[in-house]
Amino acid sequence: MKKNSYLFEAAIGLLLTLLVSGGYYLHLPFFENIEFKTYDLRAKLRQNLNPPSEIVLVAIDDDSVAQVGLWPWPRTRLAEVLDKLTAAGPKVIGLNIPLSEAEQNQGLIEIRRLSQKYTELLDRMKVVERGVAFGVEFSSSAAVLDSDSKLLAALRGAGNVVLPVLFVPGTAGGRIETVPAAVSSSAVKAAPLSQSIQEESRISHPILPFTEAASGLGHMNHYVESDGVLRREAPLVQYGQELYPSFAIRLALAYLGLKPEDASFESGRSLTLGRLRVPLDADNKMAMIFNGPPETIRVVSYASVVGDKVDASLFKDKIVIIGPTARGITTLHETPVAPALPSSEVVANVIENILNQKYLVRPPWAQRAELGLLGCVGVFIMLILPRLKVLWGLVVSILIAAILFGAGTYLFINGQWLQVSYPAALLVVGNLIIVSRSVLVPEKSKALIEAAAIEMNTMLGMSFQEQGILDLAFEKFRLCPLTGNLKEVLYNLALEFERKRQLSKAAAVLDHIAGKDPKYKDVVAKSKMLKAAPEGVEGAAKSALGRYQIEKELDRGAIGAVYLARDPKGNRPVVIKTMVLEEGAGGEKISEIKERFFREAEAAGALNHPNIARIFEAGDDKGVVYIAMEVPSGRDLVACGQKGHLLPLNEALGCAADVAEALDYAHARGVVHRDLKPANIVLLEDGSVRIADFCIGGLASSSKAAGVVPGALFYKSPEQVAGKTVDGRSDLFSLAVVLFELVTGEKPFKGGEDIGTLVFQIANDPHPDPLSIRKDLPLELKRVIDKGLAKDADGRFQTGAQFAAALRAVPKEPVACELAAVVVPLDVPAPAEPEAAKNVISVGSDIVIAGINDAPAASPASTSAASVPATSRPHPADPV
Amino acid sequence: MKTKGRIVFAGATDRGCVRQNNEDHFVVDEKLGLLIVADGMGGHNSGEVASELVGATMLEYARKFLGTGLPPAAEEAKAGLSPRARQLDYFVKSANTLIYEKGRALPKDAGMGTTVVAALLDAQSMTVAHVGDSRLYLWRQGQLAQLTEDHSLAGEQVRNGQITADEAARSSLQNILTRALGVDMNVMVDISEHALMPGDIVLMASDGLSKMLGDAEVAAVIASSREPRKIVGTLIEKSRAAGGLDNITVIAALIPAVGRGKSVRQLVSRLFKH
Repeated sequence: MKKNSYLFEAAIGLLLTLLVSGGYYLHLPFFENIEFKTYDLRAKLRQNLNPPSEIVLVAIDDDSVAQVGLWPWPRTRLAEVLDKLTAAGPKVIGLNIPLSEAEQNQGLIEIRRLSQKYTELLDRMKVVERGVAFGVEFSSSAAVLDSDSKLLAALRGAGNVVLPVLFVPGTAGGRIETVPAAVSSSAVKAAPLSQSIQEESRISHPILPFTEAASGLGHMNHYVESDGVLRREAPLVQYGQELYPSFAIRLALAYLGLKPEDASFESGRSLTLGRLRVPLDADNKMAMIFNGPPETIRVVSYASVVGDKVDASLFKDKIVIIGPTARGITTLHETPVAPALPSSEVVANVIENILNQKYLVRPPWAQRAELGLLGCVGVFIMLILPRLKVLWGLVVSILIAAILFGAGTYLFINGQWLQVSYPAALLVVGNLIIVSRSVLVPEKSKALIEAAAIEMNTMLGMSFQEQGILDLAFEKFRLCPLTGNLKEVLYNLALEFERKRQLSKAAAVLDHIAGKDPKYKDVVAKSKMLKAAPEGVEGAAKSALGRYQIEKELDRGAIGAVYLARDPKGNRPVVIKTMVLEEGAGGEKISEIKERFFREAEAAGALNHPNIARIFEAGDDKGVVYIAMEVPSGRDLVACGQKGHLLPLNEALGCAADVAEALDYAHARGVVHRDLKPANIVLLEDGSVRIADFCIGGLASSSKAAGVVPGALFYKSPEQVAGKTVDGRSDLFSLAVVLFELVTGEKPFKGGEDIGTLVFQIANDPHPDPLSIRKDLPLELKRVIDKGLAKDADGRFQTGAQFAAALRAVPKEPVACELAAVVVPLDVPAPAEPEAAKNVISVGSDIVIAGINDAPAASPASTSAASVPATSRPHPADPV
Repeated sequence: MKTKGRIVFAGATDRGCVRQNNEDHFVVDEKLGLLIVADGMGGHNSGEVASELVGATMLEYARKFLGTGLPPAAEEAKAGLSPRARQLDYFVKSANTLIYEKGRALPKDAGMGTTVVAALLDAQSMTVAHVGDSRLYLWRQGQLAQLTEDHSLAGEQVRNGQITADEAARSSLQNILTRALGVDMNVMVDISEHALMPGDIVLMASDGLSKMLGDAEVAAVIASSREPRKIVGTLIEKSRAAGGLDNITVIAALIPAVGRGKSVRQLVSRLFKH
């Protein structure tokens, strides 16, 4: 069961491992997104909010737009800022504004049209110039309006401006437009071309004059990951047979004083720019390290530059990037560190990374390490986690996860990217499964308890069957679901019943199987056959002892059982008591004990007294010793010793006197009863009494079998509980105890929590004054009881006859004693009795009638064999 | 005395010098770590039947159920007990049911019963169940402690301070049990759990030993030998020499010294489910 559960959990673990490994290989979005999230967290840890200041951004920000006017601006505005910057002496300028078309200035167009028309009119002599050179006016106006020319001039003047190209969506594999030489000269020479490089099929470059005036071109394309976040730069993009560097790479080249052809590209490994090496991943991309949120790299506003509010030395020998950042006029990128980073800032970050050699690379061993980690975690969740206690499993898992993320972060900060979230995800999912299983435990344990009950019943049934207790075996099996195995077991049980000639029971077992599976073996036919078998054969199964047919069990206990049986001779009912004979502790042989028993039984059987129940026979049937006795029809005195059911005093005294005389008769013949108690004294319908069970008590004295404490201990004499040899005076003590109970409704020795207390009381404590319990008892009776309960046998009545005579001498009460018990002395006030308040109705200060629920200890056990429950105590502490 | 990390067991039973039958029975199962001593009672041969039945039943149930987490069902379980203790409790109660029902079914066995003291142990701990007056002692560093309380009239008297242990040993009431298996449909089983330490010796015995030898004598025998087989042999021999009035059964188990590797293993094992 447990093994299966481990197997099941190992299988689940394996499945999860394969699933996550699959996700790892196939870059399934779910798992990739988890890795991206942890990547972004780690990226935040690697921010550098004070980066070196080789780069300055001139931002066309909201302020500038507010000052200059709506975007797009006339290109003269760009020329203006270029001129300003050129004067400050930057190393290189990146103008991050697409200039792929000439500016469409309606005024310039009109001027040019007018100028052309004017020239035509002049040519056709329709207009004559007289002192006024309209042609010059036109061209100067055109020059004023022609901002492209101004920008061109500024570009030429600066001589170190890099311009962007954009690759636009086109049909993949379509015909590649050839580009002018001025454009293609910006390409990096590399051969052979790689398969795994970003490829584009349509280009949008600045118009030719600008291109020619620029110091170089770089692409402004940014490629986001599957979750829409920008994490990598494409330093090179393939267009046709050319590789175009990115804007950032081109600026870095220019900054380093290099030309595109100086860059060397090694596919999947690196792009080398002079002394600087840019590591590339398998996609020929470069992971960006973002320094922080917008404006982490130095940013100045266009307006402040043009307004001469910035110290010109800020730009000296720097890389200056001019680009829009105002809302609505720039492309914003979601990045690990900032949700909206303008593209110019992205470029600045990349350049910063390259110049400071800040990279994040996948180490060559990364994949092997990641697979190894996946494997280890897989083994952990398959084999170890299910065996750990839930809490420990969680602790160990958290520890492993912490180590994974700690190592991942450490490596990340040191520029190496290990994808630890895959093993971590596996760990989490593994734990979820385990925890969910433990959450479902109530369900499971319920099932387990049911399974346990079935197992227990099956097991007990089998044990019963093994011991030949077929009825109980069937009883237990009936409680279990009928599985194939159990059918077989039940079928065998039926066969066993049949062998024992208990045919109807065999049939019942078969019917039980048939009820579920009538096709099982021959159950239906066999059951029918068994039911048709002649009745009465079963009687053979009934047990017998000697010649007596046992009819039913009346009681059973430590020293044997009591059966109601029938004596075929004379067809009269008898009570059979079986007895267990055991070697005594003193070393008495079993044969000696048996001999003694039969001797005593014989003596008891010889007793012929109207107040003694007849013993018919003592026998031995295959080792079972038994006595067959008369069945006295009446009720025993057990109830008569309880308050509210007491006999009238005169009657009680009469009973006791009769018993005393009968004892006298027996003692005179050497027979001691040894177990006299109310349960053994039967009150017949005619009012006479019968003492039963003579000679049984004696056997118990020294053997362990007698053992398990007889309930009759209440009536034992001091010499009996001390284990001494006893004579008839012991019976008289017991009779005195019975008498005490008959007249007061209480036992003289009530015992305590355990049996030891009772034994001590019998041996040592004086009995209570009967008058204190029942005030109206004659003083003479108290004297009889006191003498009868003397601890020393010599102080008691020496014979039953003396006892009887003393009892008969007690003066008869004129009033019925039952009534006397409730007479309330009128002269005594009735104070509250808090002690007795619970169980006892207080009628006066000295006369008390017990309530119904008397102390349970006081109710006498009805047979000689009832065991007294002993209380349990805490165990002694372990020795240290 | 050098042990290699395994518990060393020894057990033996003897008819004594007086009795004609041996109604004692014992079980030592090293694989399960199950030790049982039972002292049967009942006429004819049913004392033997009862003590053997408790041994066989508990062994059978232990083989089937130990380590499975199965039984007992919730209603049978005592709260606050370890699974092992609940199982042991269940084994004893099952044996009681069987003995009781068997005695009821067959007049020949009517009234049979038995004491039982059973221990399930490993090198770290032990679970003890007992009913009746067969005892379990733990000997540790020269001290002998009786971990079970006799369910006998004399035992009750000792606990109530009415008589001393020495008087109890001589009392004629010591044969009267207040609890035994097979007497009633239900039985209350005393269950206790104890930690074990290297060098401990667990001793289990029927009253044939305790009636003949005092605790001091038993402790002296253990201290002088510390070897289970010798302890068992010597104790039986001495009980016989003292009269051997009853059947004598003794089991001894020596808890091994723990190596360093083992203590690491113990630590690790604490992390895992049992």
